[in-house]
Amino acid sequence: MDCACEWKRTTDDSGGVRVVMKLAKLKHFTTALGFWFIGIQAVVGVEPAEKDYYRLLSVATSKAPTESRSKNWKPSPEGLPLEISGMTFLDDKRLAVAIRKGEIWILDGVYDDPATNVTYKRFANALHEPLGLLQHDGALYTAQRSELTKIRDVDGDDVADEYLTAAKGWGVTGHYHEYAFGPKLDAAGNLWITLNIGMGLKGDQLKRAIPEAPLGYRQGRWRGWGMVLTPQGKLVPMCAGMRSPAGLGANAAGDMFYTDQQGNWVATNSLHHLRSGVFFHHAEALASMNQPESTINNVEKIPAGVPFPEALMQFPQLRPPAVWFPYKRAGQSPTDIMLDASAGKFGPFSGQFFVGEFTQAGVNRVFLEKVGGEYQGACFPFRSGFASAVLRLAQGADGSMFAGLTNRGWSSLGNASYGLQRLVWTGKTPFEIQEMHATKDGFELLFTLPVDPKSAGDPASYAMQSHTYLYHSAYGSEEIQKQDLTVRSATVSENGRRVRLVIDGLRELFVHALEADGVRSKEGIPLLHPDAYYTLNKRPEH
Amino acid sequence: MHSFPVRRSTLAFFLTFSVLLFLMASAVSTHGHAESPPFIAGFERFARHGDLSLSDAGGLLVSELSCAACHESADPQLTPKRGPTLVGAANQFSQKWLREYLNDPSGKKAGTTMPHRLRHLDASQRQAVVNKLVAFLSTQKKPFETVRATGAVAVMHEFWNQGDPLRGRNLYHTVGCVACHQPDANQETNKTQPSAVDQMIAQLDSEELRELGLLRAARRVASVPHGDLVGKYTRRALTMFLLRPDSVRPGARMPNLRLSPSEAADLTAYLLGERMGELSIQESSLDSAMIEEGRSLFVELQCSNCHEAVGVTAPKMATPWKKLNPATELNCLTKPTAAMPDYGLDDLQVESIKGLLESDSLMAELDEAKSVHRRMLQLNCYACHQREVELPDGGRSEVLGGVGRYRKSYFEMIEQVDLGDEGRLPPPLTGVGSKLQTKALKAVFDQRTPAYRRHMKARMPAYHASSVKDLVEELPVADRAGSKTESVVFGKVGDSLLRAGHELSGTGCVECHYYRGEGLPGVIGLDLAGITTRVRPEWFHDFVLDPGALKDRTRMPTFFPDGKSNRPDLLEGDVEKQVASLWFYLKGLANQPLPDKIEKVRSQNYELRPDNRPVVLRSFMQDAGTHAIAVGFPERIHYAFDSEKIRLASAWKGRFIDARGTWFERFTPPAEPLGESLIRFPQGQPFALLDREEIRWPAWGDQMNLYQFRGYRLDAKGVPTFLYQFAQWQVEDRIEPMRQGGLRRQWVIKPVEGQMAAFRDESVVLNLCVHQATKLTRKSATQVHGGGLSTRIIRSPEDADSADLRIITAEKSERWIVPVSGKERQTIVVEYGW
Repeated sequence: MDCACEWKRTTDDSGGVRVVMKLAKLKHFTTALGFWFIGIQAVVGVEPAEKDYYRLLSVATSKAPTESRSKNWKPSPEGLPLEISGMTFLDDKRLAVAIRKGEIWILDGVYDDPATNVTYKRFANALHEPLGLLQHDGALYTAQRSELTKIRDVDGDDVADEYLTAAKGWGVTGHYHEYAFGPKLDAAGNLWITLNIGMGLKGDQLKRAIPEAPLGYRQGRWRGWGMVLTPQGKLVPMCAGMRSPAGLGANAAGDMFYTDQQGNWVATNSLHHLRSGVFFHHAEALASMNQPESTINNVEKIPAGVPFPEALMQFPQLRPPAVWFPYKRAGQSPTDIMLDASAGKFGPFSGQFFVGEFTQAGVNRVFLEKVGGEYQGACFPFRSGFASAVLRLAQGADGSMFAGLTNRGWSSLGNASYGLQRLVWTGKTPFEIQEMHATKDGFELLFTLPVDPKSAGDPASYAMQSHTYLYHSAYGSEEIQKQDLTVRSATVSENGRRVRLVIDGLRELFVHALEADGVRSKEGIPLLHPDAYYTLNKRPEH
Repeated sequence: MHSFPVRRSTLAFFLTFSVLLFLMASAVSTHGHAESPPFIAGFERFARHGDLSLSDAGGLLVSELSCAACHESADPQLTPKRGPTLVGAANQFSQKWLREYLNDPSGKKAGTTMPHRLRHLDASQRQAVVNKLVAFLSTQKKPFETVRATGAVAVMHEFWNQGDPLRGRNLYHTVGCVACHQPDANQETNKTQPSAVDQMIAQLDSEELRELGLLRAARRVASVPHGDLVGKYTRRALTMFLLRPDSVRPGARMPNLRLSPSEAADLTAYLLGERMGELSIQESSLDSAMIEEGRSLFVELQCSNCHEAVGVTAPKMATPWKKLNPATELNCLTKPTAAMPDYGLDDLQVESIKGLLESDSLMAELDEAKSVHRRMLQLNCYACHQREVELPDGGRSEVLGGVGRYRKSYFEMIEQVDLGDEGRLPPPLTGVGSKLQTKALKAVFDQRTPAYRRHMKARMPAYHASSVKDLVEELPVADRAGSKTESVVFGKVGDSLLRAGHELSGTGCVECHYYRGEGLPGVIGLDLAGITTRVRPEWFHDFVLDPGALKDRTRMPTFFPDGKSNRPDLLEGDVEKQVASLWFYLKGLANQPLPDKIEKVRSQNYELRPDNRPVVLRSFMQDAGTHAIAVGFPERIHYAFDSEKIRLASAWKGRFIDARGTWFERFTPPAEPLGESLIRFPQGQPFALLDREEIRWPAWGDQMNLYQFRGYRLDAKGVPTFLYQFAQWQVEDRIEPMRQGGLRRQWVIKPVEGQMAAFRDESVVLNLCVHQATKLTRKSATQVHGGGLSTRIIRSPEDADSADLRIITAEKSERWIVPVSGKERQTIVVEYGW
């Protein structure tokens, strides 16, 4: 490029972006004009950016000297290997974190901005890859590979001396993929944990698999299941078919959900409502079907290689996810689920879910509604640009979102390997699709800000496409049976916040991908994220 | 694919006066160019300064200007570079840019190697031809490749729009782009101290430089122009081009810098900047007559000789190269007619091509060294690498190439460690053919090969195998690589050699090198794992003996000054044997112990040392299973407890355990005890409910559901007490070392409150097994030996006498069991010795 202009992107204090053009460098041209502009800067607005609305602060992030997948992975020689695998707030100030090497630390000063005086105190150690942390009943609970552990300090020195087994009994064959996640608490007082499926057991691992399991599957006991520890202290298997259920979270009503990750039997990433007796996708979880207390029985044949809606008909225990996350478009590997319970302190999405994203180092957002008694809803991109894979989320007392990061073993965007970041709402409302409701003949969108009636009322401002997936044992599925739908009309409500779309060709059980590129706010701003993906398991009757 | 409307068009809130100025400025600068001759990096850098003979310079021009695309030649050295494929041009380039470019190629892109075909036409005729060509090109559609996302590759939705210009700027100035292209003078670089030579050069004038033979090193190297990227590419097209350059430009002059999708997007964001709105690639009204005329013109004007396009007839060839008569047929170079391409060559370029045509030597007859030189000029390997070549004047050999003094500062190490230029600049390639094994040489170019010099920020670009096939074959010949096999150079491997190699590695090599991913703190150097499949045995031998002889100014010191070893204690000081020992040790490195110093550092980081208090580790273990809890003690006696089968599984002495695999390895290898004197405790459940006369101890599993592990408690000293339940009894099980060696174990057994009512069956007795082996020998009433373990009962249940301590035999196994009344709290203590 021969032009000597320089465009500079700077970030001001509020995280807003200004594009500043330096004119002082336009020597040849300005001289020719007989002008000499020195130091004239023009501020030019650019398209709205996520960071204008949600500011990302680093509490502590580090880069390992080795690649994230290296067999010789080593943490940074400086500081604590803060590969956060669990987070729970002890009070309005202190955050307890579990780290993957097996310790629990108590952090203070995490709300400071900048967080330059964070203190760290080790509370517990010798845990085997703990993947969750919950303060409950006067103790810290964490799921290790082989048990759910209740950890307490009894002698009052702020260091744990009691590591009591709250629950155990699931199979641990020794395969690396057999992670145990949790716990999280539901409205009934149950502590939920989710158990990864093993993948291709070998050698001694096979000796620890369920002998003569049904359907010829070789898995440890309750692998691929969600289990609860009841308030009475009993460990109960609840539901099955999980592949890599790295995230759990309850909604405002206290109903529990989990996220699953694309892979064998799992067409794309998904969010599911956890209940007794339901089956999600991964067939090998049926290895535990004949165990005492199993809630899934008598599955004789598993449909394979058929579109998901058809699989549902052939496999009565199989339930569709509340939300499918289309691969790449809404992340590649969902993790934790955080309910925004801040009543507005974190922006306009109170009561909604935020879902961590590992590979793309971000957070997506989920809106749920109940249709015909079952949860379904939409996911939206929310915030990208975290320093590493987002594994854990927790909401602070001030409403801000804490993100625990670690990308070891896999890969992610971002320039760090692990750490803790914090996402703070700037107070400025982004122009977003706040809610997306299914209606009898289309969808109703609620926007965070009043829309420009002209663009929002124009059906050409929207495009919709629907698709489903194949249910099969292979790794992931393409989007199949794609169809472009016609947006028949778009009607803007009187207050300008709602738009009712009438759409031809809606299909139940299909994902409906909306692109609302043409919509502008009353101020003429485009949507921060014009994409939304609604999983239309059921069309409402009204 | 459904196509959605162009999205995320950039909004200008304030389109100010300044922006207008900016737009005008770009307009002025793009139209204000004087014509510029084709820019060929090797020609500019070397031919213009007499570093290439006239015919060599001509040969380079002929391949880079793609002369043989029309003037057919079988000479592989003249293989035309050709232009980018135009399949896909319709969705890659802006039509406006295409029009301007076709209208005046070198005006639009200074230094372009594409000739002007329309110079002879007046403005309106030209416009008509351009319109037709563009209409034809608008039929050249090809969907962009879908970039696959995996767990290893993050691919954001429309990732080409998600780039970060600051990251892109940083990449541009570090990964290697600026080896060829213009850096931004304002880019902050690491403040690396200039080398002594560079400091001297800065002080000298050109005469002095000439006298000292430093002119070449002092020269500023011109940059390969980018052209108007902003006007030409959509974000997606540029991102995809950066990601896979050879899919568009198979000539590989723009190499593949091994970018991830997000990195490619970052670079795009930097190169295209925050422009006002995305380029729209609008379909022109597809007038079929115009398209057809364009299609004919595309062949007629010989565009298709260089550019791939769909639906065109065979290219129109000109006089074959061999039949060209330099005396009469050089119009194409100097005064091209309407039927000829006009390259806008300058005098030296014309002279060079003439020189080639007039010289007798056929390019095909070049020896390997010259052929390598030619290919390195074509691919501009010299932008990064130095190599000694024979100069035209009288066969003197000189080092050509390298990043040059003005670009050195953009080559950085990943951390601020001073390894001098050797640590940050791409390696010199003099003699590389005799250094690298052919397979390793080939792998250097392969996209799948991980970076070797990981301490450098610059990346060795990847090349398609076909682009570098000749280089891979000719370099060893050109550099007279030896063909001696390992056994000829080093003889046979043996244990003493391996031991000596391990020892020698620890004396010096570890100060700078890594060993299979492990190194000393602060060391940033090459990893020697795999070195024996990378370099030739002879080169290794010679290099280790005297590094400086093979590599100028290397930081690698000799460990054999004057050909003598400074470790005369090893292998009788035999230098040859010592070099061989290093080779064989490194060859077997995967299964050899790490050098002691590295092992020591490693263990400091990951070996658990219970120096003052007990240390606990939960992990997978061979003997203690997948619910293992290992406990190490300052007394240097340690054990592992299996919390699934609720038994003491093993114990050992000395060093405790290495936690690295448990803490940081994805594939969770079992943790291995580090010490010695490992003893495995008997299998089977510790407690059983037996009939009074029963002699069969239940197998594990029979009464499994009667067990419940309840965790552990740490006392003030940090010693764990395991808690579990068996049937109606709570058990507290505490194991700790004794001062005189061995372990002392104490069980406290008490009935669970309220549950004893259920245990009223007087015929069934609770028993504890304290020892088991195939053969037990009773040493005394309270001591039994067997299976390498001696067990002594120190305290038995209060209501039991020694006669109750019976040995039962069943299924080839003897067990020493202790009956426990179980009605009230009982304490049993044993000591284990081994």
